[in-house]
Formats: sequence, C-alpha cells, structure tokens
Amino acid sequence: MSDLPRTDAAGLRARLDALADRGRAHIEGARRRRGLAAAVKRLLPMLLVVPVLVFGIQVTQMLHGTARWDVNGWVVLGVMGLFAAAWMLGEHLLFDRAAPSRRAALGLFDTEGRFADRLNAADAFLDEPAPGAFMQAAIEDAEAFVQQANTVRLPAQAATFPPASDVLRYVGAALLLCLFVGLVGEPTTAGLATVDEGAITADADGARDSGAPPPPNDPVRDPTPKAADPETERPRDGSSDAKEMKRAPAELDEDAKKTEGRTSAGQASDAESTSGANDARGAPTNQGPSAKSGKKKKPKATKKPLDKKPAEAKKQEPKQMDADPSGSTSGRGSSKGSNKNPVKTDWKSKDQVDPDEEDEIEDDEEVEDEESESEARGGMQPNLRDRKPPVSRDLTIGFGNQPSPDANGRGGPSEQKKSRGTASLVLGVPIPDRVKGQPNPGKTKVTQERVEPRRETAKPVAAGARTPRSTPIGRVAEPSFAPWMRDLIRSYFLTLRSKAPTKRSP
Amino acid sequence: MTTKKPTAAQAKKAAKEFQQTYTAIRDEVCKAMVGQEPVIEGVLTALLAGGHVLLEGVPGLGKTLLVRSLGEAVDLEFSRIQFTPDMMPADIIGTQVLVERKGGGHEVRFQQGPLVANLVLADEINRATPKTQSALLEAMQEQQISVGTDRIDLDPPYCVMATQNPVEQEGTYPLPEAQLDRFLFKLVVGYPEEHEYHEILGRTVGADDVTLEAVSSGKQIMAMRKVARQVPVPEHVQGYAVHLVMGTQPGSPYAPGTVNANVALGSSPRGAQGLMLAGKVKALLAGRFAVSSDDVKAAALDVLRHRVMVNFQGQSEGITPDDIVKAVVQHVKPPVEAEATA
Repeated sequence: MSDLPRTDAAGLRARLDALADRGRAHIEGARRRRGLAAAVKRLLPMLLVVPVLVFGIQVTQMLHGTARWDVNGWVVLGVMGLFAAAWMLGEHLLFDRAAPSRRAALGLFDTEGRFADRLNAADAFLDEPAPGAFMQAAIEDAEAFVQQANTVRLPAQAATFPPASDVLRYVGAALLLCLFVGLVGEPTTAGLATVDEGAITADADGARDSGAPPPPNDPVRDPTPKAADPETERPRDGSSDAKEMKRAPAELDEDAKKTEGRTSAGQASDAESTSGANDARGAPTNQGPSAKSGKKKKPKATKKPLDKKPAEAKKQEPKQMDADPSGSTSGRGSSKGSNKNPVKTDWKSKDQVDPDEEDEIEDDEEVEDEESESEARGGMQPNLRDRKPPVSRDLTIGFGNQPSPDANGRGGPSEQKKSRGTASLVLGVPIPDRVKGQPNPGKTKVTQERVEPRRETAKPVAAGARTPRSTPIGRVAEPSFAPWMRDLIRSYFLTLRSKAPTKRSP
Repeated sequence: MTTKKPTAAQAKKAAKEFQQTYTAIRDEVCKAMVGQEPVIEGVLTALLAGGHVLLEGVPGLGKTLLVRSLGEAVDLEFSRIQFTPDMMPADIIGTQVLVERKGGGHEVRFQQGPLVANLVLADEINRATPKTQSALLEAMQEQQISVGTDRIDLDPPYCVMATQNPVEQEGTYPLPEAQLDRFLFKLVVGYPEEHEYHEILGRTVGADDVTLEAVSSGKQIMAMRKVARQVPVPEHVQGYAVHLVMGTQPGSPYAPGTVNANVALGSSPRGAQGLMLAGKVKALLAGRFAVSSDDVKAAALDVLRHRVMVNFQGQSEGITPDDIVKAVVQHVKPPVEAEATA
C-alpha cells in the first residue's frame, strides 16, 4: 500500500464490503428460489406415490382374490396432501444455507457490470502484504468501478420452476388416481354382493324351471355361483358391471318365464311329475341344464346391454317355437322312451348329444383357440381363462357332510347320503364367459414363388461429346479416411458399444 | 544498495506504452496483410508473451506474408525455411564447413543455418522428417543450438512461426506431441471475406509496392515481454486456468463427458502456462492491470487446441480438438460464476 493511502484502502475495502453484502443477499435469495423450484420439481412425481401405492395394493388384492381394501378417495387425497407437506418440510430442512463467499458476491457485480474481474482482483490484492506496482494499479483502477457497481442493478435470477403443463399433468394424474382408487374401492363389495345374489336367484329360477325342489344350500349346485367367481375377480369398472350384474337375475327370470310358456303343453305331463323315480332320474339331469343355462345365459346378461335382449329374445322365440313345438317335444320324449330325459327342457344333456354334433366341435375349436392364443402371446402371459375353480368332486347331495336339518326319514329332505347313478356322473363344469376369436391378427401366410432368372437386354448408351464444365468445381475436400474406411470404423465402434456400453461421466 | 520499487504510476505508464507499441506494430503489419485480424493479434500476442506459433491453413492465405511483415515491422532478423522430406537437421541448424584461412591453410568453421535468427518461419513444417522436426525442439524451448560440443545462444527475442497445410496429408509427418506442446498458440488461418478480396487485389496486383517501416525493435519487444510478465493474476483466475487445463484431461473431475469418451491425451501444465501468459498480454491490451477470467477464456482455444489428442473413437466420430476445447470451455465455469449460480 505504498501508493495508495491507508484511508483510501480502508474506504475501498468498506465499499467492497457493502457490495459483498448486497451480492450475498442477492445470491441467497436466488438460491432459495432455485431450491424451491427444484423441490417442486422433485415433488411432482412423488405426488403419484400415494395413490399408486393404494392402487397397487388394490390390484394385488384383486389378483390374489383376497378381501379388497376399500379406501375413500378423499382419504387418499388427504394422505397425499400430508405427504406433499412432509416432503416440502424435508426439502426446507435439508436446504443448504451456507452463506455465499465474498468472492462470489463481488463476482456477481463483475459479471453484471462487465468489470472483467476488477472488483475481485482489487479485493484480492488489498489483502496482499506487499502488493506490486501492477497490483496497486489494479486497486486504483477498481476505485471507479466500485462507484459504478453501486448503480448496477442485479437482475432477478429466475428460478426454473417446472412448466405449468407438467404441474397440471402430475397433479391431474394424482387426482385422477385418487378418484379412481375411491371408485374402485367403494362399489367393489356391493358388486360382489350383487353378483352372489344374482347367481343365487338365477339358480333358484333354474331349479324352479326343472321342477326340482331347490334345497337351501345344494353343494352340487355350488359350481354355478363358483363359476361366476373368476369373472367377479377380474378387474372392472365397478359401477357399470355391478349394475349389469344386478340386471342378470331379472333377465334370467324373463327367460325362465319364456321357457315355462313355451313348454307349457309338453311339460304338462312329464316335467311337473314329482314322483320319486322321476326325482331320481330327473334331478341330476336338471342339475346339468340348470348349470348350463346359468353358464350360457349369464354371459349374455353381463356382456350384452339390456335393450338388445328383448329384441333378440323376440327373434329367437318364433324359431324355437317352430323347432321345438311343445307337442313335438312330448312326442319325441315318448318315442325315445324318455328314460334319459324325462323332463322337457330346451337343452340337451351330455348323454343325449351325438359325438359329431356342434357342441363337441365347438369345444375342440375352443381348445385350439386357447392354444393358438397362448402361442400368440408367446407363452409369456398365463391364460386367465384357465383360472377356473377346480371341478367339484363332491358326490354328496344335501348339505355336504352335514345332515339335513329337515330330514325325518320319510322321504323329502333326507339325511346325508351318497349319490348314485346318473347324478354322480354329470359334472357341473362351469364354462366361463368368453368371446370367441383370436386376440391377434392370426398367422401370416407367406407364399414363396419360384421364378427362374431371365435374361434381359439393355439398350446401348449413345456416347456423346463431353461439354466443358460450366461452373467451377470449387474446393474438393479431401477426407482423411476413405468412405469405406469410415463406414468400417463406424460400424466397428457401433458394434463395440452395443456389446459393452462404456460408462461416461456427464 | 536499495532498489526503488516501481509504483502504480510507472505500471500504468508501462502498460500504456505496451498498448501503443502493440497498436503500432499491428497497424504496420496490416498495411501488407489484409484482414485476418484475429491471426495477426494472435501472432503478436505470442510474440509479446514469448511463445511460438503454429499457423494452420491452406496455401495462399498469406501466412508467409504475415510473418515476413511482422519481421519488417519489428525490425527483427527474419529467416524462412521451406521444409521438405529430404531435409536434414544440419540444413536448418548449420554445419561445419572447411574454409580457407587468410594466411593459408584450412580450418573447419561452423556455418550457421537459417534457424539462427529472431523470427523463423518454418514453412510446411509437417513435410520434414521427425529427425529434422526434432532439431527445432532445443531452439524453441532452450533458445540455443548445440552442434557437437559447441553451443550457440540464439539472440532474443526468438520466435518460431511454423505453418502446416491441413489438407495435403500424403507424405507428411504430423508433428509429435512433444513438439506441438512447445507452440504457445495454434492459429487457424481461414479464407478472407469478400470485401477483403478486393483489397488484396488492389494492393498486390497494382503497380505500387507496399513498403513497411520498422516501428519497434527487438529490445522493445523484450521490454514488453518483461512488462507482460509483471501483470498479476488473481487466485480465482489462476484456478480457472488450471480447471480448464484439467478439463481437457480424460478422467479429471473437470472433464466433460465428451473429453472422457474422445480424448486420448489432454493438455500438459504448459497449457496452463500458456493461458496465463496469453491472458496477461490480453489484459494489458484491454487496459487492465490484472488478468481476468475473460482473458483466459479468450485464449483457451488457441492455447489448448493443439495440446489435445483425440482418440481413435473420436476421430471416427469426426470430433476435432476444437470441439473438445469448446466443450471444455462451456463445461468449466469460472469459480466465481460457478459459486454464484450454485
């Protein structure tokens, strides 16, 4: 400080101190804004964590068939809000509050004022114990720029908050998930209950059709409600399916009424016979059709809308009336002795169907379809239609192993007994609903045609005089590598990278 | 004996004289040379910083004219060596020749070669064999020539300005890294602008010859070099130069991804020295008394481009050393700026 008076040096240092304080405050403010922006940016994807977690739990429960966790959407929303608040609190606590250095603070003025590091250089040289001539000159040179720095307006460093579209996307997705989780959670149990009621009602109607007295809990008839289980276990958009499931019993009742009307003449003598012999033969055969009718009608009830149903029923009704008039049914029954099918219904039991009939062909096709679909999926995904409950091997009639409470030993509901005869041979195998057809476009047929090479003749090219070049060729760049060498090298490195990707620093 | 310390006023005066001399030399050179201001400034900066220059450009762009004009403007001894593949070290250094004595008899005397001068133009240096190229090493670094047991000190200022043609690579010997590292700057000479063509034609095809006057001397150049060396460098600027040099070295914490992937060899500490020296000259020319980060950044491309060796992978991708240095400059921020925006 030989040239610069001590008071001047002290004054310059004081002015630099003031500038440094101003710069520090500005940098801290900018850091806070950037920290907030970064925290919001990190929070946005985290918003999805809570609803996705709840949704994942629900899906897992659906797949495993366990009792579903009913969650209110508002509760999920509330938890999500709490999570966001906790996240921001954590960001606030972890925020780096280290004060910016004096050099950075003065550097801000150097940058904004385009002082070319004059302030920082002067500040550094002021600390030198024996500054040289050029250092003193630099300090003196900085005096004027310190004055200018006081007038420099530091620009607000805009923090890059995530764009509004991103915010809307994430928040919207989170809210939708909350809503979805709420919708899935609430009506699920109601839907399940409706399905069970519908299945039971349908079974009851079917049993009423067949004339057999519907026992309160028939284990042989269990497959029918069980058959609905895989379907009810599949994910669905609760309310609509539940409504459709509610409609199913009503349609079944209508169908049952139609059947009754159609068979009124033919059934009069046989179908309503309640003799013990008929019971023995008829009950098993009735169980089959009731299960089958349950199988065939329920999918229609669940798949097709309600308004189509009566129209189709109206169309089918005359055909069926023509094909199976009540008189002919009774006549056929008597001609065959009616010992196998004493009850007139619109279905055929397995022992009546010829092997070359359509049903069996359709079954074969279904098996083929399943195989082809499984192949089409590459065998990677399991066929969910295979998720059938195991076929009931329980041959008991009544209340399983429990004796019927109404048993009195005089006919009617009997004690525990083992079924014998035809009833034990007919399996009520439920066939789940399905839509026929392949989920993929199918196999592609490639036709190869063998063509012998043929000789072609080309027209001779007429040679003409070359005209001189009209434009200069310019500077022709001479590549250091020939094109084939460059391609070779490029392909070599591409292969090398694809085999062993190298880790690069950012 | 007490030596009087130079004062701030003297420093300011020296800096002003530095600027004036520089401007005078540049204006004189610009009488003969049209356009190419960045190249002229680069050559002058290297001369004042005490370094050597490698000029790269296609033939006919005035590289030889620039160096010759500089020699005339500064009144320096100028020599030109046209390198060829059959040239031997003795052809440039000098050799012992048998001469006749006045009184009778013969004696072996050293006949110095064209390398003994102040300003040496090594034209198409990459056409010479490595043996001949390496003969330049001692002269460039030590500013002396060893011939047998004799040693010849080269008069300061000593500056080698070498040219090479980037296009014709057939039958050339690319300079080894050890020699490239000894050049302070590698300047790329480009084509002139359209309006400069008219000026070139007006000056060279007409009847009037352009004659240059010496506006400076070798002694003055040495004094300017001394002034440039006195310019102080703040600690954060020096740190920035070090970070830039380390940024060119693959595996260093300052190296960007492109360096790690495509660079075989980064800059040596000579690169940092070059950045400092060039920054000092630039600071004086800008009227400042201390080097700033901007000075270092401005010199980075010229100082570092020939010190970076792109690996085979980078060459196959078409990545040039210029791309690497630009990526480093973009990636490595001055410490002050980096801290303020952290």
